[in-house]
Amino acid sequence: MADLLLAILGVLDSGVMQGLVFAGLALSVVISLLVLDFPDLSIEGTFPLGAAVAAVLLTSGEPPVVALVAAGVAGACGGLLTGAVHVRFGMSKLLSGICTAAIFYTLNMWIMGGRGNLPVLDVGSYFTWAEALDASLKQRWYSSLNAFFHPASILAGLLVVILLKGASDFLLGSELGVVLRGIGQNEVAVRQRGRRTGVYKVVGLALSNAYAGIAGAVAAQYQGFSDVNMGIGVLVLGLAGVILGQELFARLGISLASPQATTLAALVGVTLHQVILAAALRAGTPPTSLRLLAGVSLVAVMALRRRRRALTFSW
Amino acid sequence: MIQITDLRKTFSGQDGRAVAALDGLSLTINKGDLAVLMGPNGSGKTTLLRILDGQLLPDAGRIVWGNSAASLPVSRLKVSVAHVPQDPSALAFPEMTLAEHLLWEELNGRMPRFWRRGITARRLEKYRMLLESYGVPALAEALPRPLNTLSAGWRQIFLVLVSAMRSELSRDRDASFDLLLLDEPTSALDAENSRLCLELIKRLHGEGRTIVLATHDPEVALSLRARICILRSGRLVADIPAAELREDTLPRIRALIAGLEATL
Ligand SMILES: Nc1ncnc2c1ncn2[C@@H]1O[C@H](COP(=O)(O)OP(=O)(O)OP(=O)(O)O)[C@@H](O)[C@H]1O
Ligand SMILES: [Mg+2]
Repeated sequence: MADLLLAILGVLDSGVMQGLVFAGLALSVVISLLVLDFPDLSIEGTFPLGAAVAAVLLTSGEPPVVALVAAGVAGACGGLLTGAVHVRFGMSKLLSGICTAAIFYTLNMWIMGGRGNLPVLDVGSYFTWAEALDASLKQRWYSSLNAFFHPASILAGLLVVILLKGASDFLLGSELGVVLRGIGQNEVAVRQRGRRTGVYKVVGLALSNAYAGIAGAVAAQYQGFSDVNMGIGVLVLGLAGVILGQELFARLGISLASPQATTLAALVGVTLHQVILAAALRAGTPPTSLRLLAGVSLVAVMALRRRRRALTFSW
Repeated sequence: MIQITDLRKTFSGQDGRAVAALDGLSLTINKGDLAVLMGPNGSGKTTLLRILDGQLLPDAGRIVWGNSAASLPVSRLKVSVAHVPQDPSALAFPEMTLAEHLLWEELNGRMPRFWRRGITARRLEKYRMLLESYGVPALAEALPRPLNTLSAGWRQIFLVLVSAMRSELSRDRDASFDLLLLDEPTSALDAENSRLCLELIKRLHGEGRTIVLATHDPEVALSLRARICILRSGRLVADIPAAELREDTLPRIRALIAGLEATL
């Protein structure tokens, strides 16, 4: 009985922690897919880009905050590339994202000095203090138990997520947000009103990829390393979070009619998804099958949706 | 005054055959005019409106706006053209709220600021008052609802209103010409809303707005006491000034249009 309780707590602990790590991805997908109607694959390149930039800066002695901000800026540059390729050269939304992701795969390796993997465990990161605190909490309160919880790390992650959500809510609720949403809804109508949609698309994609870059930096600092392959499948993670969250809110009858509610749904969704994946891991799924599970669970949520309709972006 | 001379627009049809949507159309619209375009399907009404609002470029011909020497394009002139298309959703944002549509008009031509809130209590109050002043409290109630939750008729009325309120919403624009284009605004409306819509148009006309309206319904033209321009195959075939409208005009218009064959 106690074992089961511990197992459940452990699953919740690691699931919530992972959810907070990937929260930036969910917000990124909200901006690109829900707001701009742009299924942006470039986050598979800008997520590890953020991780690589953060890892390099941390190993050269910069403070974690600088690493996070720089990762955001780097991610935004990736978004600029996608936007520019799409807007200037008329490459389709999917292809321009794929193109950016491919380019950054190699660039990320260059950034990490030609390596595919860069550890940051020994240099001290954003989570170092929190982890030390978690360790001392275990020492003091439950050293005899065969478990390790991360309340301090979760709080540290939550702090970043609250800041990210606040910023996205502020932007999406602004005049600029209304225009960005208009582009996702009816690009022709925006152009007809005399606006150059290209500029706004580029701005929106930069924003969305900044979130992916920050998520990558958080992930690298939490995992303790940056890896060129850590971007594979992250779009599915973000997407699953957004869809799961929307479905959950719809079933609970919570209105999604505001930027705040939509981003909250995405964050709850991505966390719930990670809890499910953590449970699967705990139940014995080999870690190599996690991506399969992430993809299948996304399909399952899509299939189980009560109303098989397009995602909502009405607020 | 808008002076349209010898306007031509040709589309290439599915089978590669050229379709002359406008074939040497000449028409003068004076400031403050209410002109009703009539004519069978495919006679070029929508094409004319789309050229007037700058969506389409004509192949040939001149449009002179006011006393400006330039003829085209519209986007370079200080002209405010509001267009409610035949399919009103074409230029609307289906999942955005009514308030957000009004905000779109308010932002017209100005950079959106990322540090300024979009829908604020003050704006909502302003929109509510504005809609109530136009006699549609029902729409004022519906401000927080997405456009696609409205019935087609109310959507149409709302979009006509939004276009009409443009000058009130964005005061800082100094358009020298303020034109409202309405493409079959009453075709989706029931009798009651039709009447409401016509009243609205009359009111806008009374306020001095220049309005060009396309319709298939001669009653609309009559009840608006408007000038009637009849098109066929992209040409103006009859231009009846409002002053000449009489009881017996209706059957005459009907007969005139019935005699014209429709083109696909
Ligand atoms: N985008 C287009 N591509 C090809 N042909 C077009 C296009 N738009 C209009 N046409 C053709 O131009 C002609 C005039 O069309 P238009 O839509 O102006 O007619 P209309 O008078 O508005 O008709 P309705 O009463 O049915 O609305 C038609 O023959 C139509 O087939
Ligand atoms: Mg038409």
